[in-house]
Amino acid sequence: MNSVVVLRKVEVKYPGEVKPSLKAGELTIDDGEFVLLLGASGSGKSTLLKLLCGVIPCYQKAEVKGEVEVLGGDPQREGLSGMVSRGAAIVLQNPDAQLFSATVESEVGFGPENLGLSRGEVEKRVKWALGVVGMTDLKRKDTVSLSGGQKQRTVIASVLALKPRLLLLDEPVSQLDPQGSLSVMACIGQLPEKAGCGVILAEHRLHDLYAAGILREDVRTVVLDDGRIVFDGELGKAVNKGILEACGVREPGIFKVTRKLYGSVPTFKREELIKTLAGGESSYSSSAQSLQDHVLVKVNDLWARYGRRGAFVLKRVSFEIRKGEMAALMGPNASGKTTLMRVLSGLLKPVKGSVIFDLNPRRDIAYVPQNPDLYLVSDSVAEEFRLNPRGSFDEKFVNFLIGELGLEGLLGKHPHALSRGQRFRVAVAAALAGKPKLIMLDEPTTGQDERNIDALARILESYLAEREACALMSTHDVEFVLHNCSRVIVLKDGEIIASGPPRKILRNENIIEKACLRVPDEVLAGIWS
Amino acid sequence: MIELTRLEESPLRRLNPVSKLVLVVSIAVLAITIDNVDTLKLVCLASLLVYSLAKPSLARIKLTAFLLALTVWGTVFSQALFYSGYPRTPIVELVSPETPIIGWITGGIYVYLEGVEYGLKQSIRLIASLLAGLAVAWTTDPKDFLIYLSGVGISKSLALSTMISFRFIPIFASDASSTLAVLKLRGAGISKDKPASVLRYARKFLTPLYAALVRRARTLSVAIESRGYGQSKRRVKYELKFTRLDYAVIITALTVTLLIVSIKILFYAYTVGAYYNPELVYVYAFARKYL
Repeated sequence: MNSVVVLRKVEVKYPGEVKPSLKAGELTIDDGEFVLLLGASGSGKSTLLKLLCGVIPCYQKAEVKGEVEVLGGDPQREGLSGMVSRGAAIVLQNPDAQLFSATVESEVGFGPENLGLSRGEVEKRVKWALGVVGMTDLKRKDTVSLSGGQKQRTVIASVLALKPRLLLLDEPVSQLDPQGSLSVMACIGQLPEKAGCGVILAEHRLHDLYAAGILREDVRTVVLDDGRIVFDGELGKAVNKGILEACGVREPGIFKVTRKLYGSVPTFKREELIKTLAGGESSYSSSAQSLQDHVLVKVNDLWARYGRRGAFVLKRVSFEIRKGEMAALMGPNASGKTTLMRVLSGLLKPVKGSVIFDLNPRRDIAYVPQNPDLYLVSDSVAEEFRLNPRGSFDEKFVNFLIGELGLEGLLGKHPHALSRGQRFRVAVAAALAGKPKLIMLDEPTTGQDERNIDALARILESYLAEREACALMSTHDVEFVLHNCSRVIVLKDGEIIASGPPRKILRNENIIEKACLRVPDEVLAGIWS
Repeated sequence: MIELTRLEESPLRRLNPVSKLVLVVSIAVLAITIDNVDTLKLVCLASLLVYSLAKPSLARIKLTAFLLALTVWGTVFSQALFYSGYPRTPIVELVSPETPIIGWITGGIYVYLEGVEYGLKQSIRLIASLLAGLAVAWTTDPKDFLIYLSGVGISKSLALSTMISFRFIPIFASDASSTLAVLKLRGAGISKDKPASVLRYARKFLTPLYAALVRRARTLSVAIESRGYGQSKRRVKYELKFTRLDYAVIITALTVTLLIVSIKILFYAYTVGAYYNPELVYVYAFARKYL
């Protein structure tokens, strides 16, 4: 079989960095192969993908040493355009920044049009690609009005329409709701077979990959740690040798429990594993948050929309958040989660209804948007901690946040020179440094590895208990919610369809289906008490 | 936020991207070329007409008003203080020349009447370009820029740059609104109604916007290039639709712009003594009075 990727003694170093971001040694990938690329945040996954398709050094300057051969060409010499003509394609994380046409059909047709195919062939490819990502019915829809998940599926369809030989996916489902993610992942898993296309997939959301059936024992897995390839082999071995856990990769919780109980994961077949665990001893307990009766935020019959003539994005929304509570907002993309947080932040005025705070809304509310770029306004990470509504700076507390969130060594750097995961952590730390009573986080686990997610959960839990504050977060991460939140509020089309403890809500199949969620494996296996 | 980026149905949307681009460029060229304030106001009015043909929503009108207020305030304020031409008439003394250190170094800081007037003139120029630019960005499918501009022979990289700049005007507006909101929540005493407060935090306001834009522009370029754009000359040829209205807009805009630019060049040649033709005396008089 032909090799589509050959790397020999490759080193990539970004300008201004002391050590290489990637030190890959040897790597060979064959035509049509499916390779899972895993590693903690900043381990070099994105750098490797960018190197393979010529984004480095075309769009991002870096010093590259060693030999890189992709589809018979040298990405360093031929650049992205040359690699695309050889059959490589890349999908990046943010779908909003990758779309540029007015309609879905026009967006997906752009690639085949550039290949000079006949009109009939362009239409055929558009139809096929949209079918693969499950968006055939939406082909005439305005791209602006698509949900985040639909946007990412449109981007994936757009590159699939080129019928690439090697598809590079850099966290393609990071912004999708669980069901959207499952459908895309199921397609991606079948691409080598159906489209004869090799896939290199870098992703943090292994829970979704597992639910989509992609995580099989024999899937070839390359694990990166601090820029080095520390494992290249079958996934089963990486899991059972504890390599993923050691490298900070967030494994499906059910793997951990099985390993704890049986020493290894005997089978990767999901249903069998769930059956093995079912009826066994409970391994988890519900969140230990000490909730008080004191209500900090009370929302009554809230209605909101953008503009005077727009449709209502929030309808009849009522709920309370108490002191010490970490509540989650869940629901499909575009269900109103972000809008609700904007209303609570005072950034959008409701048309009807009220929000009653037992806190000072001018001083005690912090909101970190999904795009951390818009939160970071200073010239150095250290300065970010000084801008808060109280104008206070508690050095001890800030140092604690810096240590817990792994931000040491970054204080002198410009916040916008950091990776996305680091930028989001800086934004969260800066928000907490202002000691808010209500902290709202939009998709806080996107692109974060296990260590950082655990640290975030730990910090929030202690912060809420000590400061008698509360947190509200919009997220698609059912595992995070199950393990860390005391309550989940489920939105659908701007209305609350359910509210209650995660272990109760996340097992209700009716709600799960309506809200495009997924039942966590731990709940299916009955190992949650 | 969707409100700010959606392509709304409007009379301007019926024009093809080439006509709209010719219109915007013509308005910008006229705004730079013309010095007479009354004629500049006419150019601004023409731009306002183009803007109204985009049928902007209330949210977009509010945003435009904010951007215009910021433009006028910033331009007038800076010109009023730092006007370097002569004559200049101080109307307000901000720092006396006797003030220790800062007064001694600067010789006093004043608000100059001529600076205010010059700042206002510059503002009209910027407003004219801004209004038409926003209207075109809000009514054009960015992909059409690529197809049409490449179709009329403009290089692919220039077409791509044009498309990216127009693609990001609406997102820039949406990001600006979010950044402003986040700054407020972080305790910055900033308000849309107080442009001075925005100026105080201008650096903090612009840094995240710039970073987000650069990152998005890079991602978009990668996305476009990885869909085969610019790698071959085999692109499917689309029939470029130019209606009578398109031709009328292009011919009118180009004729008016070329005529005015030519008159200004002739007038300039006359004033510096490079070229004089007695038969053009009415042209010189027209340029002196209206341009």
